[in-house]
Amino acid sequence: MRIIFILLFLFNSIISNSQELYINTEPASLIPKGTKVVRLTNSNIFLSGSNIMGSISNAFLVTPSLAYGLSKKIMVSGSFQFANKPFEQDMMPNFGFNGFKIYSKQRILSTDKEKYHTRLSSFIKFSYHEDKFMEDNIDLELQDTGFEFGLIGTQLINKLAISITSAFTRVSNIDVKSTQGSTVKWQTTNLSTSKNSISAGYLLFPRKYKSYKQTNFNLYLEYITNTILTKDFSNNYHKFSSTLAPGIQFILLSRSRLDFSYKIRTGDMPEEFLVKLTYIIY
Amino acid sequence: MKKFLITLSLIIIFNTGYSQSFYSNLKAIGLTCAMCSYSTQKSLEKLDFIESITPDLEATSFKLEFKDDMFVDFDLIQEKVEDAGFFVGSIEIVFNNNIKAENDKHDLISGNLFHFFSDTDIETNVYTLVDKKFIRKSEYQIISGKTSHACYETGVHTASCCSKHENLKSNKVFHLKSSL
Repeated sequence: MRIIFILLFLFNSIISNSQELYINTEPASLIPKGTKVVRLTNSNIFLSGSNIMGSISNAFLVTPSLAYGLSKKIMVSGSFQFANKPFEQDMMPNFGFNGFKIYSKQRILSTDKEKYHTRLSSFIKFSYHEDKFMEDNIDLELQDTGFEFGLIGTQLINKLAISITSAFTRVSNIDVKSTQGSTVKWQTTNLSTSKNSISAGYLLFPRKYKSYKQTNFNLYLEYITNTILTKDFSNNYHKFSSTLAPGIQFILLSRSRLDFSYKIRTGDMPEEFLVKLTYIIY
Repeated sequence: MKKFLITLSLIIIFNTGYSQSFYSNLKAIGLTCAMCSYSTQKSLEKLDFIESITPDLEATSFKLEFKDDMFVDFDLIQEKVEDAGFFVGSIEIVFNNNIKAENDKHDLISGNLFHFFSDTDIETNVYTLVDKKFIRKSEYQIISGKTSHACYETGVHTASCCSKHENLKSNKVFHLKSSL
């Protein structure tokens, strides 16, 4: 009985204080027309699991990105990735360019009924990466090459905001080993996956908004799944894999964001800690 | 003395003719964060006829004060809120003085043409914008039945629709209903 009360209390506080500036997934809302969003992401992938072959250190990734609101219905963004490439054979520190990403999001639907908003957007992403950090994992965001398109829906009922993303991903840098007699051949193939995620955010502080100068403190929980659609695939990949990503966020002066998130992956995959700094130029 | 009287009368004329005698309370909807309110404010700041913006973050509303001698275009206010990704919930117009709103009559206030709707003959200074795009369809249909002027549909002042007005800053007409 007590648990029910606690749950009701929690649910009630989430309803009155939801946030949709997600850390690991995109919300359905777009950035305002004419604004630029500058972002710097730093990921640390803890490559200490037994499934990681030949890693000499943790993977350290730095991703600067720039987004622009072309209109109230279209936004575009691009980013470069720089990494320490922990798998290189020469065992030398060789921090450098590892890839780029381009992304566009389009608003399809936005209803404005009082206390009941539905936002629906579509997106398309192209990603290119030279090196993979997690050999047995598929992650277009961090390390793979290919494209992705899908839909993002955000539902706001009273003030509870929940976002769901559903996407189709085509990854084209999958190395497959084939043995013919005594010769071992490596070839690169494609793999299709279905990527789905659910995200929710909750404003913890301030309890009362008075000024833009107040620092906001937000809590997030995101759950991302990846299901391989291709029938024949190398057995080092899991048909279904998922990532749970709790996170915290500070919003400073209403125009900067500092995000921290910890990604926990299923299937003996390495965990990851990321820090993201965002600044909006109006 | 004569000079003084002329100056004084000029001052009076200019003050009555060109000072903005109202402000607005804009309620924005769909905002889920402080960043959203700030984006909306930044978008609104691009409008040259807005003198100052005072946000109420808790209510996601903004008090808008306007520059003298400029036409206040509420269509542009709506456009800027939508550019930021949000919607106008309602716009309230608060006049400095009480106005007796006669139903279906036009009034030129500080060079802005307003069309009033009222169920009663009460005097008040608080009105809500009831143009087609700011209210629900059902409400629009009810108000449409109370007017013989085409400007409620078109939003534009024409000689055939409305009585002749001098010193109009714009041909646009905005429609107001008393909040009482």
